[in-house]
Amino acid sequence: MRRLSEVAGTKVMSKASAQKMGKIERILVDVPPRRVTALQVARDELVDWADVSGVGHDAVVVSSEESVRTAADAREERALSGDFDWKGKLVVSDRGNEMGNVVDLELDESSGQLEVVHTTEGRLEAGRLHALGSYCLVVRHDDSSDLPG
Amino acid sequence: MSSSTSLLLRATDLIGHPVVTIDAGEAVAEVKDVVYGTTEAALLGFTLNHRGFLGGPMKQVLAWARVAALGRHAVMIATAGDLDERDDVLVEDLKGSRHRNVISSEVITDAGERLGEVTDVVLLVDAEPEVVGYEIGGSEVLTPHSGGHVFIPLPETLAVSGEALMVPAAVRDFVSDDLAGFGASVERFREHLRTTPPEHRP
Repeated sequence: MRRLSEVAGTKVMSKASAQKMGKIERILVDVPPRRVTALQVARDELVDWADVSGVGHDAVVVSSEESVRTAADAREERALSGDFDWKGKLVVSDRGNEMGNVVDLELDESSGQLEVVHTTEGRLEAGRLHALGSYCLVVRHDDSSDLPG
Repeated sequence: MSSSTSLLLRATDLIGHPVVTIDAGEAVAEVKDVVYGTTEAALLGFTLNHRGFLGGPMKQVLAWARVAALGRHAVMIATAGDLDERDDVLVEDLKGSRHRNVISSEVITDAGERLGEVTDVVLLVDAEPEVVGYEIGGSEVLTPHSGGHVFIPLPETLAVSGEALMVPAAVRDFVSDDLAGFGASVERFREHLRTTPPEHRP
């Protein structure tokens, strides 16, 4: 598992040309599907997570320059304007209780699936994530958790 | 208090709370005012303001039945479509003033004693939020020295009019002077009502 904060800022290389394509400006996540959906590699330029072939400590490797695209819909445009930025996002349970602000997210690099959310109040399983909005990340209440919400 | 997350709140504490959608994580409104029924011991719902510093009153209202959860931070609704402006009767009920006057209603026991007047409604916030009592002010009978505010549990049967709340005289034994201790009072009072036949109640 990798923390998204460690991936942010990494350079992006093309597997086809071995050239630098940019660096990771923003990591787009969405809930559902509770995963990293795309990487912003330059102004208005995105690469789908599905086109990422490797996530190393020194570079993120993308299939080719042809993977670069622009926002596909209004939600991605909002994501590029920062509406859904995860860092610092308020976390609220579906019971209406505050659970801190997002400090970091951990993902499974092979699938892009989010596994763990670290907030200012503690750690919670990403399986509880329900929705991501411009206002907050909505999380399911769980009585058995250290951070029930 | 059935779980670690249940919580007692004054209804007026909800004023200014954001109204947040569970399906999208968006704050679609904030609570302007809390509207109580006068003919039943219940909240009818909320009037709303737009959020932000330019926020003024919204046309839409939020009916109690559409509230998914009340928390320390937010009033949760399933989806933005749960705000309503189409149901004329509901909007009139919530925006009109005729339902607001449970606040300042007199509280009278069935023994004919005035306990004070209602200053707020107390909610138990859990999986299913419910009204569990009232905050009573100006209660010289209950707090002869301070004349301050006390909390009384909501009886399971209660007559309410636009003028007064009629409560069993036994409620006096279950009064709490702070909200923290009030949850236990509610439980004890309900147990008392369940286990004591009406003819044996004081």
